[in-house]
Amino acid sequence: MMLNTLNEWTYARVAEFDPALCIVIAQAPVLPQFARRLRERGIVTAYWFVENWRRMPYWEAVAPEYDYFFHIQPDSLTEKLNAIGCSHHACVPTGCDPELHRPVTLDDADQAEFGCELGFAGAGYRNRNHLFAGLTDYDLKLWGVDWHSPELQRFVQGGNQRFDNGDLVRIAQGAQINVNLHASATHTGVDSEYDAVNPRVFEIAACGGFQLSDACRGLDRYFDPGSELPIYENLQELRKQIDHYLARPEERDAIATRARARALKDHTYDVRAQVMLDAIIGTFGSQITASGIRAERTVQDMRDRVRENPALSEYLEAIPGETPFTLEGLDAHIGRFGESWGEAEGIFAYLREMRSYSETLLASQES
Amino acid sequence: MRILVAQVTRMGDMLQTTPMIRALKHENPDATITVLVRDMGRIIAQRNSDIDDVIVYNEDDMYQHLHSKDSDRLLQAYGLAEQFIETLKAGQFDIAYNCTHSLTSTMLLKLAGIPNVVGAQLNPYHQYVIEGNGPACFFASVLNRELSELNLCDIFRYFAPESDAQRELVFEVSDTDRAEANALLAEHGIGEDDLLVCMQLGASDLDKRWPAESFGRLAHMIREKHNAKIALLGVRSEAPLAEAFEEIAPGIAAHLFGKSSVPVLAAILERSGVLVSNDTGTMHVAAAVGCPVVLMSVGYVHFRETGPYAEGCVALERRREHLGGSDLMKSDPNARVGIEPEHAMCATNFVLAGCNTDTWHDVTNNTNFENIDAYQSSFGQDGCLTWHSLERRPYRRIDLVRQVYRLSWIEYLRGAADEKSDASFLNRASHGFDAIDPREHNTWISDLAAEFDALAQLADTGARKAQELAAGLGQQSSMKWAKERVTELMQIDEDIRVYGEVHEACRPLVILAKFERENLQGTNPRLLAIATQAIYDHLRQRAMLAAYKTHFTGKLLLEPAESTAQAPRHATA
Repeated sequence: MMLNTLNEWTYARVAEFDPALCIVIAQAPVLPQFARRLRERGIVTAYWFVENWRRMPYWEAVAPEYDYFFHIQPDSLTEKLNAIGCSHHACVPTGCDPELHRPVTLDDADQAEFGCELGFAGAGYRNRNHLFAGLTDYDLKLWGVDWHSPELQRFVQGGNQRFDNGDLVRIAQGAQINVNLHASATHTGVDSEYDAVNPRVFEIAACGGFQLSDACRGLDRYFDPGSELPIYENLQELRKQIDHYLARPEERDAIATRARARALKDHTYDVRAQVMLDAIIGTFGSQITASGIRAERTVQDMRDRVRENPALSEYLEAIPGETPFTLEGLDAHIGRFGESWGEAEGIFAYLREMRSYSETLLASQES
Repeated sequence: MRILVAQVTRMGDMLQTTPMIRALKHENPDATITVLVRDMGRIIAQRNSDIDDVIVYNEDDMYQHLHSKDSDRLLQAYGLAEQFIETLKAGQFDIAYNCTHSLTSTMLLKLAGIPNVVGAQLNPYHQYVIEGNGPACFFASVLNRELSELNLCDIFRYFAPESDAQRELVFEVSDTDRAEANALLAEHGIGEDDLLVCMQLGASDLDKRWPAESFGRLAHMIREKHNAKIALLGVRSEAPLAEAFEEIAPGIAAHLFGKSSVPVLAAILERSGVLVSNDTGTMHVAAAVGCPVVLMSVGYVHFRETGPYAEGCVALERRREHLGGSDLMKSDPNARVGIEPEHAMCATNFVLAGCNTDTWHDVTNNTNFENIDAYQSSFGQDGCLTWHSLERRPYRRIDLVRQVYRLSWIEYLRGAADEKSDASFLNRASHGFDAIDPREHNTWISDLAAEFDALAQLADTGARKAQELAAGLGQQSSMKWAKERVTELMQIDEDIRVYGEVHEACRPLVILAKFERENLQGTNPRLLAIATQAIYDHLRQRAMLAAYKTHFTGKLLLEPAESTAQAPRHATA
């Protein structure tokens, strides 16, 4: 019932916005027919499945419905997608947002709260409870929910509660070593088959934190294990590396700096969006460009660009700066028939009428 | 004087505007005439020595920018529009003739600051108005084609009211064009001494196309009887239409799809004996260069308005209840069929034999024209193109309505009566009809006249109410009083609209007034009231004129039969 309602609400909002392309992210509250309805409106659809397909089997119902299907597991899913008739798909991992994931300076209070030798922020999956139980002789701090292991309770921060992004950047900054372990509900340590690189890898790197990660398959495509992100295969190897890097702060800083540079260069969400758009436009470009690609700016954005056009400049000066610079946005500031028009206003009135007439004509021809 | 003629529709429309441009040139020999056309009309304008300059209107780029709903591209669209308006301003035109009724065309002319506009325009208060009798007739006709008898060329001509009749389209063919045409035809085995018959299989819309198979059968007959060479004309994209043709008539026609420019096409047509065509731009080119046309008037085509503007052409049409509507109200697609190749063959023979009306029945021989109408074009005494039926057919009420509108519009356009010409037209037309039943005819006359009279009465009430409102607003009457008057006027608008719906014959007049009223906007209520009064006054005058012409037509057609109707001369025009 709730999903139906949310589905309808989401559809209505998308239809109202009338985009050329709609990308749905995993767990968005929409039903499979959502994509079909958008396609009927001429909207290209894509789905970004930022889940581990082995744990979340709903990908099988979703993937064929969309024009393009993106996932985060580079090799294991390809053949399966082909087999179910999903012809356009690609691996696009998660990433970081440089505005959110950035280095911060910790004050004394923060240092007291977040400072530690080893830090980890995430849910207490089975393999994590097991692995971190082997690190209790270090200065360890754990954040997040579901940490049930009795021997870890004294290390759990924040009362076994969720943490926010503000906490994450301070955790990344406060820990001398951020230990990353990809989740498994069945293993007791590193899942050697795991291939869904988690967002934490990119986020901590962008925060400038130093991290040691388990050897998730495909991780070496995104960071160089030798110079940007050291990896471990098991607890014994992890402890060895912890000892090594705790003793070498300069080396940690150098690695963290390189990882941050790499993250900002190759692994931001802007880059991910570009990869997805390139893939989609490569296949559905003519459909999308037929309906146009939009840049939405405000009147304020445009004022500087039209300084040398006195009529247009004067017209825009009289309109609130936050007004969208689109015909719809300007509509209330364009006179109707029977009202007097300034020069620039008259041209916008002409453009509005021309678009309206052309669209009416095209619609009548199509019908 | 610097004159701008805005004709931003299709190539054929540009050709149909050329008589008007010639009339303007005759009236103003020292004037500079510039035309504003779409790209497809450019070549037509360039082959017309009456035209001094051409401005091409290209809104496609602007529309693409706008359609994207992108801020940056909106700015680009603005830049293109601004640049285009500057081009118009640089022309320093004294007057513009607007041959379309689109709002955008009126806005462009307004933004260009052209001081005088004939046709649809924005008045000083930015209200959309249609100025001039020619433009009013044009607007009313295109939306009510079935009731229109006038060719667009004649309507356009009256945009310049003082103009003389110009009985030809203008397209100048050069010797170079002729040489290229001959070379192209020679490549296809057609020599200069061969009788050439051209066919245009395509048309802008499927509904407007006589079947290609029928063209194929006709081509067989023409070739057999006249030993003629057949050429298929059209643009490259129309080439697939020839597949159906080839199945019926394999290898007998030269395929010239996309092989000629418009001037070379004109040169080919100039040396052709006849063009058998759907309603297309090619047909107008043929008419312009003296090539007689056999027009297959199928689907929603209304040849009376859009047919070839030349004498000696023939139009064939399947007899049916309703004839061509506007482009946006397409008719029964079955109307494509019904005309057989044998009918087209008769028309072709008739045209090739010189279009002597007396010989029609000789060429038709035993061909059954029971449900097919054939019309021949000529210029009437009134200077306008007429289409006379070559086969006698029953006289219907709609024929009466069309005749009434023809006579009304011509007098309205001229601003003066010419009843000799009217009588000449009706006399010639009567030869195309079976004997008229006087009793039935009298009923039609009195009913139709009563319909127009009642419309005039409604308009008169509206005019008086609007006048009352304008006067009251000038005397600072109360808001409550003004609101009551406005409500009354709105009720009259509605009464007139419903009247037009119920009485189809009145629809052209009603729709014109309704359009003017709906586009009347503004913030000064007194000015609005005055403009409203003018609209109602014009409606009343037009309705009274139509009522008068109804009586006149009845009297003429039934003379010396008893006509109970006495024609009260209207006090307008």
